[in-house]
Amino acid sequence: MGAYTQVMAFDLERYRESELPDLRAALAKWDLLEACQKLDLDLGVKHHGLSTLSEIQADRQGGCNATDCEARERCPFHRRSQAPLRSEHFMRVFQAKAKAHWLESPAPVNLGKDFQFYTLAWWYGNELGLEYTDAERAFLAAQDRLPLLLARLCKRAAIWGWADGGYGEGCLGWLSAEEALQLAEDLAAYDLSGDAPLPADLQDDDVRQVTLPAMRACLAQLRDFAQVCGSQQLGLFLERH
Amino acid sequence: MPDLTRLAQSPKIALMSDTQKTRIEAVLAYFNSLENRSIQISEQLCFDPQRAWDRHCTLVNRLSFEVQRVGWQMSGGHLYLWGAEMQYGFFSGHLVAFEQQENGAELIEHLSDALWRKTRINNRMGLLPAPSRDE
Repeated sequence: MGAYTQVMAFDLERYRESELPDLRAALAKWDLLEACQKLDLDLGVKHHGLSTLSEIQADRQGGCNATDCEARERCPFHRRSQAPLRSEHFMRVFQAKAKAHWLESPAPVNLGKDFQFYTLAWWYGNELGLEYTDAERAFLAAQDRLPLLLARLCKRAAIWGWADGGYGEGCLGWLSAEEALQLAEDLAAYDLSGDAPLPADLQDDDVRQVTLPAMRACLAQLRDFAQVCGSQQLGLFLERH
Repeated sequence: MPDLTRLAQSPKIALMSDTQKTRIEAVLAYFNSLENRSIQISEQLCFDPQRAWDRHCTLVNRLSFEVQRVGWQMSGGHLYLWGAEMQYGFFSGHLVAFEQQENGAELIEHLSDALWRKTRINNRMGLLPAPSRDE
């Protein structure tokens, strides 16, 4: 439904031990494992930088749109495959395997309706005094680690994370425990408190009075949750309902 | 509150047929009546509505929240009910049916070649049953 976003503690190590062998075996059975260019060893989006993640879009028939993959006609995660029900089945299986390692403790945190990839890009630019498309450009061109970590959290599961109606819902992505601590560290460099000063260059009243304060509050929650999870050797998983 | 005159400035809506504009106007009037009210929303997804919503219905989601205001995204022609921490929204170009009922409304969207979404909004919570696969 695309109604709101929640972050959970994720036991990535157990996922790797318990589920990955089965999931990789399922892909191998369809003769997809060797051919796949889009999935990494954890079956997240294979990427070398931010651009790969920012461009990928979850889709009901799979998030892959590789044009030169020899397996694209038979792959359940490729949009050209002609078997939407098989895509749905595969995606449900992959999602269920990941969800099995979401934890109830530490308790999941509701990050609200506005927490999405594009609003995170806007936030990053807003902190630099930039708005909308300028803010997005700054995010995509960033050389620091934070945008990449946020993109991993929002996009890493995009190949198989699609949920339903196409309003951004689904299993979005995850961070390892090490990355969770990095995220907490990088967010700690920002003043995310309610009385943090606004960048002087921001002109839009809606951004100044509503959007930026709301995103800061969400990110303060995420920072604290990431610190708790990372300290317990747990990763994070992001879901949008 | 948004009205169709303002929404018509959206290029996506300006290009729509009169029938579609009338439909969206009805949704807007209904949405505007929901401000500051608690609602319950449930949705079904379907690959083949010709075979009725009791087959090929995949997922059912439900949520409840208080509508703070009606919102829209001018560039994309999206309409929203915004709560404090949750939202419901749809793209006006996807809307193929809207029916206001005694205690709520029902919207059907054609999302892609073979995907439809039916959303029920209950503005008198507890009276409308949530959809199920057996309905």
